[in-house]
Amino acid sequence: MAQQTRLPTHRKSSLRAALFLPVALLLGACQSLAPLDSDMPAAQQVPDVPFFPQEAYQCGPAALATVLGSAGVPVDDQALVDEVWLPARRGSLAMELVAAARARARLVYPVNTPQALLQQLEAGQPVLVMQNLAFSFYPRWHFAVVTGYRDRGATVVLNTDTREAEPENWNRFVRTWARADYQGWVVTPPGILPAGARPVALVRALEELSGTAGASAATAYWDAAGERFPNDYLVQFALGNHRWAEGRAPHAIDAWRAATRARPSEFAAWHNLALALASQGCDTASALDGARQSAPGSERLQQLEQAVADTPAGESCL
Amino acid sequence: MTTSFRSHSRTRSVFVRLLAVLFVSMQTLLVPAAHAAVTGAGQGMIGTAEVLQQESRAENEARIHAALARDDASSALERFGVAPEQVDERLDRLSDSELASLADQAEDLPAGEGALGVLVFILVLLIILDLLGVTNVFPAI
Repeated sequence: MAQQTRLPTHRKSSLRAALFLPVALLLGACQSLAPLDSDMPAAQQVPDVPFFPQEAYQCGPAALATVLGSAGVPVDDQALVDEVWLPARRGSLAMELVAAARARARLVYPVNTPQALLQQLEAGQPVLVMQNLAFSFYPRWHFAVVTGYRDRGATVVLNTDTREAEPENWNRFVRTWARADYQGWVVTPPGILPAGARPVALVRALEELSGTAGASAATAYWDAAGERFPNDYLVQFALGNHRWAEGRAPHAIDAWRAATRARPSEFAAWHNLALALASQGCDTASALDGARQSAPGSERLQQLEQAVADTPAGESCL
Repeated sequence: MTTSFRSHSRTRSVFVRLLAVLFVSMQTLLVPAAHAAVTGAGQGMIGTAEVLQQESRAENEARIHAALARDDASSALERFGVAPEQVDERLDRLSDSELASLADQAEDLPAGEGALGVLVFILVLLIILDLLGVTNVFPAI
């Protein structure tokens, strides 16, 4: 069992906000088969997923140990129980599971749609999912790990409570998952990015990893992200920031240059590039030019020009 | 005996509470500073968080647009008498998390013409955005 703390913050009418979940339920209820792509096989099973049968109410630690083991972290599920299991609640919090995985220097990436779930399985990654086994008004939270599917998607395979590779009807599974707001995560080994990772979600996940485990824990993932998205503005911009924070100025400059090529109209990349070039004693003319064109007359541009002018000239560039 | 024990435990609980307050306030002061250093905002650089937030909204709006551009979705919108520009305008009012939730659902729509899911999605979208116009049955939303 697990408790959920991720309550949505409703700024507006609660009736309107309440409409967000029902649509998920309605859509979920229509699916008797998992939405397989036409090129996906009729059955798939992620190999070598470790199995930790849960004790008492400890499905959270067991599910977490499963995905961590699969991501190459040697774990002792009893140690995880001490870390993420709350005796008073007889359960774990989803956010604590995620934080515990990040604390072990692993990237945790959200998996929030049936399509994304299948994509992870196809890429050989088990998916930790949160389920509500009872009703939305009387929830019974549970964590399990999806390790595969069968019968053209009519059945999913779960490591759940004390059962390993337990087949479950897709329709029933997707309803319990929808009642937990489609919360799910994949945990990947260092330097391996999740299948179908999107720039925005990936950068957010990487920032969260850096925040929890320190920038160096994220470096292998960042380098992989830079290679997978060489022409993405956000990824290259954020990669530059990561490398700069690590003191790798020449590499940061490369990434920011890539960001300015991807989207010359964005001020932020020109700004950081110009500051970095100035600090290295390099020519800043073209970077300042880009900054001027992307944010003409702005206060930030003035501050940038001032900061670059104030930087003492270096002896040689890089 | 009992009273002295009680007052002792009370002193201890006050002490524990003080420690907790101190710890929490230290955390709130220290954690943002550590995070700012991580994202490179410390040295006058524009941090990742700022750009991430604006990119995140743009991506979610693009995902919703992609769903609304489907033939079955745009004809449903037309049937309700709503122009795509009106939808855009209202999307700006949603919070980041509401927008993300809608975008996830938009992406999850089943493929194929005339699917029920598309109609349900459009209807809910219009209710959320208060765009049902003359047929507005929830004026309070």
